[in-house]
Amino acid sequence: QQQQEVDEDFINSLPDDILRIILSKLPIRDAAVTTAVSKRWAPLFPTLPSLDIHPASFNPVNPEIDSDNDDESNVEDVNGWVEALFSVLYSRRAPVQKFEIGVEILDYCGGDFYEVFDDLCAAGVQQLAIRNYKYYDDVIYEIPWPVFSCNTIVKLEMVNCVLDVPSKFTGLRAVKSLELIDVTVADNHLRRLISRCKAIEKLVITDCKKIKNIVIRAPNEYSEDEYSENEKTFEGTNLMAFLNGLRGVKNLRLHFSNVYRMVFF
Amino acid sequence: MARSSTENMITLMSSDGEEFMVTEKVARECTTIRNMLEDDCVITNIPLPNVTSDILSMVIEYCMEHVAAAEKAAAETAEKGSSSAPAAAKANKDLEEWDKAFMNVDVYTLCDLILAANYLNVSGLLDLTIQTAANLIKGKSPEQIRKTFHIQNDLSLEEEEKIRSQTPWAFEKSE
Repeated sequence: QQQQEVDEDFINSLPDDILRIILSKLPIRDAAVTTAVSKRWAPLFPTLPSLDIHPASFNPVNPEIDSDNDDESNVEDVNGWVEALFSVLYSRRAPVQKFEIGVEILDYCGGDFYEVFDDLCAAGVQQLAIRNYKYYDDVIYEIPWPVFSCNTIVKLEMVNCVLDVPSKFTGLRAVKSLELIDVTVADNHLRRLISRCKAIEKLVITDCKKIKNIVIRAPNEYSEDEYSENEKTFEGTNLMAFLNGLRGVKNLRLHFSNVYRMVFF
Repeated sequence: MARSSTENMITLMSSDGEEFMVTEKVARECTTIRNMLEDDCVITNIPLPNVTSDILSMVIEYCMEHVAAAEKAAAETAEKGSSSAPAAAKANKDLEEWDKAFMNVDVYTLCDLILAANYLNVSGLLDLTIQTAANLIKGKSPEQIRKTFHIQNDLSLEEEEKIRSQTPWAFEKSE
């Protein structure tokens, strides 16, 4: 009889933190399903510290398809998608510490996402990745300004967005790692952004558009700086100024295209 | 367990009083024990009141296998001056296969291993067991998850209905 009781209870002997780690290894849909398992499991999903959203996150389960091979870019219900994301965010019982979203942002929601990022930033998100996968049409996703006034973000990644850094921008004091990939940003906005991220340790700039002239006055010692540039928009005449700005650098990797190398080396 | 005269041996004692003699190197795979040894280097007998002998012997088996694999890789690198990529890839694959076979356990043992790996702080074993547990949940309905882990459903129909309505998309199946 006693053995039976022990057996019934064995997974409940795992602490909540471990159960949350187990759930965080699952696709978001599988993690959400566990809320209906028992009273003990119901609060785990709403308190997961990290959320990783991709287009297939909210697709219905298809037992025919092995979920490992699921096409992650395929969205079955475009209208239900945003609703599903909001249902997850509204059911939260603890702040999201890490939020990654990789979708064709403009297709679904446009302005609605402003609220999402506003809430996340107000709740103290620490790691934020905004990856816009929409690579056609001329309109590019503009990063909403609450992101720039957030003082809790430590790691920030932005892919295929427009950065319009407000002139009164004072936030991002805690950012240690900043990655800009395929980002459209003007010189003065980039300079403003980087010079005010005073805690920055790692900076990655890859294939950014519109930048002509990068001057980086490193406010802190950069432990790592990876730099890569699209030869169409980069004027390499600024290389000396660029390197001069990096006085504290310990580790610098420069990736240039072949066209660029022919001009300079 | 072969005893080497140059290596320190440590005795680990399980909750049910069984003693396991292991090399210090194997014991150090457990971060919790490594910290104890660093605080007090003359310690040779460590009681582990939270781990039963069945589970402790499995944890030791895991640590020995992974220490042996690391030593073999290091020896090959030293011998050839550099590690050959195909050989290293094969060794990794072999170890992965070993891990996979090692995880062929019932869910009771799996949960005990998670607790032991967490308590002893064996990060590789903790990752392995947690991923295995996650794989057991993946793609299942709440009913199937309860069955897999022998969990009692203590939710009333109304409560379950309410929970399902909060994230309805999670419970839909495509036609």
